Amino acid sequence: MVKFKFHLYLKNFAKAEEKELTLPGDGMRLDVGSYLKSLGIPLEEVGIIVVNGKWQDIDYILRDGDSVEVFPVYLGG
Amino acid sequence: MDRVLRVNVKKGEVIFEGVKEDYRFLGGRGLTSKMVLDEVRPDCDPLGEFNKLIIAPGLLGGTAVSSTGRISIGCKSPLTNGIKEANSGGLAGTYLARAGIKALILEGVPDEGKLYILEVDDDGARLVSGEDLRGLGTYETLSKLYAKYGKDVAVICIGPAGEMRLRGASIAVSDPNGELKFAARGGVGAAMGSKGVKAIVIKPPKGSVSYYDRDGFLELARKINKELLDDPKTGDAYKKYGTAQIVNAVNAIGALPTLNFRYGAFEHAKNLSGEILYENVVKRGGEGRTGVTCMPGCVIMCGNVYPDENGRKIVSTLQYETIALVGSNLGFDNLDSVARLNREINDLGLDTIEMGGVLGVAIDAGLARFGDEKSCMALLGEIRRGSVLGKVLGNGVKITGEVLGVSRVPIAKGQGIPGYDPRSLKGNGVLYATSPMGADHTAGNAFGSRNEVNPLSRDKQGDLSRNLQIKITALECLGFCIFARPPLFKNPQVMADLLYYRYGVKFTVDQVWEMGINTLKAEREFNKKAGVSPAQDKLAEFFYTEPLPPTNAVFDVPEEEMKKAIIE
Repeated sequence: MVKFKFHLYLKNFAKAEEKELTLPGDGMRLDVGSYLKSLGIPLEEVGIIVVNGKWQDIDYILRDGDSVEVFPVYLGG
Repeated sequence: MDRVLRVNVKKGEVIFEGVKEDYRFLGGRGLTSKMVLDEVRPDCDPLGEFNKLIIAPGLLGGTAVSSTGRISIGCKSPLTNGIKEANSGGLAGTYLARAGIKALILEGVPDEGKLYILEVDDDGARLVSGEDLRGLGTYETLSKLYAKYGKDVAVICIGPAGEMRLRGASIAVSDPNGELKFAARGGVGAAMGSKGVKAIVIKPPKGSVSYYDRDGFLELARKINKELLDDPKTGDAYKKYGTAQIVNAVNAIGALPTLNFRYGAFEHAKNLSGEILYENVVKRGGEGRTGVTCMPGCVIMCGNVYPDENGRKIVSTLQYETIALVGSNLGFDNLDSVARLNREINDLGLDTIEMGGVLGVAIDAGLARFGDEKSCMALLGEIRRGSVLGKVLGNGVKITGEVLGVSRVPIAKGQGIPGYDPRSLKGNGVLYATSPMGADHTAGNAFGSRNEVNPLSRDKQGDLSRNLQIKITALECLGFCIFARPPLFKNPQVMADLLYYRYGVKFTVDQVWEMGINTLKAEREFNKKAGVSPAQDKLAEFFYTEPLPPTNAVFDVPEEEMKKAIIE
């Protein structure tokens, strides 16, 4: 099981603030970018991906037990 | 016809001059920095007679395109001893542009004890006595000036900190809602105080900016404004959460300044987030608002009025940098305390980033306690009273650390580090160390970049920062707020087109970016002559040696990589 949390307006694209994903058990590798795309989140709107408290690239391969936070692109503070 | 307004406070002289040909296509930071390089002796005392305070709208100031009303304020920085440009929203940029005043220069120092108001209107400009305002906070100063001149004027003023020439002092700029925005960094308020000018009052000009091709400009402006509204980044998130929208994300990557930069994540960060800010504003009602504009015609509207539990305004605008430096950095787990300290710092006319850093250092020295509003407020009270301790604190993070003998002093080039710990966001470490502005996130914030460069990586940070510094500086020459950049960076030709419709002169996209490059070069040249670079292209030592939980990173970008970001 992989847990996702979508921050701010990304939840509008994902149509949920949180989601759980059961990884296919057939040895298929799923990267986080492909999954986000499949949910209808435009990748150009994805700013920061944090997995288990660490920054990860968009091609990070998901692993069972991961906790993924997805933040939009920010323009600064 | 554009003019330069030169005010010599020693002679009491006010002169309108023509604009030098070299300056015709410079604006905002590009103009203030070039004028500082041309007119200010790099070795001068920043609080003495040879420094100048230069105020300029951007090249697109006062026009119909969103978010172009920023006002740039430049001088030799009393805080860093290098060049400084701090910019702000508010009304002044729009009014000066509409009045055809390309730059306003304050020069000289007044005879002992003089305090002035500079009035600017369609009939000219004049210095009048500002004695009635002596010692007043920025909020009372604004309300007295509104009572005297009417509520439609634009005000640029300082608080008691600027009058005392404290190096952490900011300059306040009034906005269309009667709130204050701040050109906060680098002690620009102390430079204004040294000129004996408490306030500049600009009456609404009758004229407006002229266009070479008005219809062309308006059509393109409408298109850009619509793009900003349609984009969820600028059309939605800023209106609800303001800049505080990033609290959770900065915390998640481990870069949120916490307990005087001991940690990069804070257990109560969620309570300080934009989501909670929005929730409180909606729940409490009354005077509370989000989606407040700070410049005429801005469609992004990132401002807010943050209310107390009874719906009464505490402060406007509560924003990210203040929440990070005065909030998590000082161990506060609630926005109300941050908002009250924010209001007090604003009223004193100080920079919230610098003061958050100062209070963190003072807490380490045992003068106050983390998460204790009363003891922090008491230290701000020392500044208002002008006690010896208050003067130490008001002079910024570096001086406070040195006087109090604290070892963890979060600075770069003499300036307090803003709301991104450079160990966990290394692109910003490169920025703080190499930017002519010192530790200033607005000079090219790597947090704003997409998920392209790992914030913990030692590689690619130099090029990332170089690119950001150039592009952001170019925006600041045009007068654009950096939040308006999505449609501008997606198709940079629109910036060249806007300039063409405004001035009738064709610019290439490269020439637009060159405005950024040339400005950075001028700034670097000034700093070198002032003795600020390159030996000072560094962060405070502890960033290199002390691992930052939870990433346990240190700042370790190699020297060669750092050098890529230096533009000279």
